[in-house]
Amino acid sequence: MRRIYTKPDLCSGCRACSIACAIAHFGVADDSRGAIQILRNPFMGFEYQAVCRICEEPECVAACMGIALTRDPDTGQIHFDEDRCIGCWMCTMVCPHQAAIPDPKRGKAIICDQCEGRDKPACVAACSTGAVTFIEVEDKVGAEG
Amino acid sequence: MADNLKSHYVIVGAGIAGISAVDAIREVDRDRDIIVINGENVEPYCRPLIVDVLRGEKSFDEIHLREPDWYKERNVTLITGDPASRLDIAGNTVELESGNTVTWEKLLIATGSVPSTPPIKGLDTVPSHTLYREDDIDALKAACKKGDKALLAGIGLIGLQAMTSLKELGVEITAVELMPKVLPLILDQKASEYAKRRLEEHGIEVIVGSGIAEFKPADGGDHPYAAVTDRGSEIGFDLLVMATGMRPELSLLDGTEIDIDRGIVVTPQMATSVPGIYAAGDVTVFDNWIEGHADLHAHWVNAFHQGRIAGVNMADGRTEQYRPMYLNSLSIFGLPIITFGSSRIDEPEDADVFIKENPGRPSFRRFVVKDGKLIAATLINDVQNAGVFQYLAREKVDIGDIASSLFEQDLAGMDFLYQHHEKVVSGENIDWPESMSLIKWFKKDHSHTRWGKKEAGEKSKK
Repeated sequence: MRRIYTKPDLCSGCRACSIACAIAHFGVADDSRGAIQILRNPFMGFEYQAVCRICEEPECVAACMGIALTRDPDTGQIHFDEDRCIGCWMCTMVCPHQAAIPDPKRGKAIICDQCEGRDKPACVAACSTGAVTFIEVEDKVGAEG
Repeated sequence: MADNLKSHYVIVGAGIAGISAVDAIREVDRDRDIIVINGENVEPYCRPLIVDVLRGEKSFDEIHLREPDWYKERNVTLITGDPASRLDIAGNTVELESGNTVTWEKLLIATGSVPSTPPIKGLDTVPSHTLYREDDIDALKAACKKGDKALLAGIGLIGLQAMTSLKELGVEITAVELMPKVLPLILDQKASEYAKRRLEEHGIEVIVGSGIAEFKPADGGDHPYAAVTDRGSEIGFDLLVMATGMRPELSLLDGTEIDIDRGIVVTPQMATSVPGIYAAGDVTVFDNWIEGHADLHAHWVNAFHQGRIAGVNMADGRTEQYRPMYLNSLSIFGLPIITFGSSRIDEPEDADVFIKENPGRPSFRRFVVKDGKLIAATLINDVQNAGVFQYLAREKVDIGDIASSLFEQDLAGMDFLYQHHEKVVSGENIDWPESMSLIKWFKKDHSHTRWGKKEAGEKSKK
């Protein structure tokens, strides 16, 4: 199982990942519409990548009142059915990872789909510092023993 | 000839609480029968989406809670269009309207809530609508036509949903609210001004702080009916929508010994006072996790979790706990509003209130901190960080010393993550900098002399 894996330490805050994500999914170079968002605190020199963490018990799925969000029981992947999304922002309200991004222009949420169907997620391909990577989860668990 | 059905699990009510209970039961117990009694004529649907049906954007077939084959796959018998009419606790049976009975081993009451209408003089002399069930939508849709004038009694969540949908159908709206503010159950005075302004911008006439004393057929004028307000003014209308609030649907419990205090009293395991009978969703009264006192928590998220806990406990008695709090997320003509905790209280006692607003944009944020803990918040338009604040409140994280930087600067998630990242993002897919595990603040050094070495060192390690 592959997962987007982030290293806040290496993030330079360039937002290439957000832009690449928005281009891949919506065809616009708008960093506010990426499923991965960079939170910056310039005073403390700290960057953090807010992206779907594929929770075991995802709060967003519980809160979704249009049943647009479902969890794949085999892979843990969160599936987002955009046609069923009604823009109620319940997922935004409950996601502690700030990974359910409201897009008021379209009235739909933006949820990471780990770029299903692509070799490599757009954000990972765009990251030049290695702060966003794509790994096999089992490998990591195995390596840590 | 009435049938007598038997099932190990019987669930009365097919809203989100009932359906999530089915899910939870099937995670634990895949064999024993489940019967779900659905009182409405359509397959279980997402109730908050009925306004989209009213608007004509979706049909009931598109807002199913679960796909039709889901029930078959999980060996669930769904009884549709035959509401439960009576409980016989001694005989462990529930009687349906058709005369059939269903015998249970474990019963879940998840009947939800019903609109509550205050006794206003003359209400029976005018045709009125509520907005809750499938047939309400059909009736309202049939009754309203473009150019009509609708009178909406009550500007709460339901009223607001009705307004946005009716407006899109081309109906003129006058909305009257008894309390001196709109959305009185979730917004404080200041925040409600934003909501009110938004409604007025979209052409809705809003009257707050005024009750309706009487309804009557109008004596002439443009509209066939009229309402007289407390202040004596008369409002003419073609269509009346009552959205004056909800109350738990308890008619099934008449004459039973189940404990009731406004709603059904439940333990943290969702058990009622009678063994073998559980309750979940809007119908329950439950201790609020933040406030401490027992209250109704009519909300989707609470219903979902309560249904789950009820299901798990019905199946094997395993104890799980859920921490309910008031949560609300809504959108007024595209303006997102998220609130949680007792955000309606204008001047909370012994608490600090942080407000950051920008009326032009518009955006508004209000946080209430008591004893160093976030107990309530209102976010209008700037809702991206809502999840973090919700988490802070639910986990009762001590934010006393960072409260002002959290709320007054736009660095919300950041400072919080510094201190509490291990608790929140403990997943496998993030590599927290070692320096962040220290209690000391972590600083990336951006000075020219040391930056290169430090960064280079970090990169070569990975």
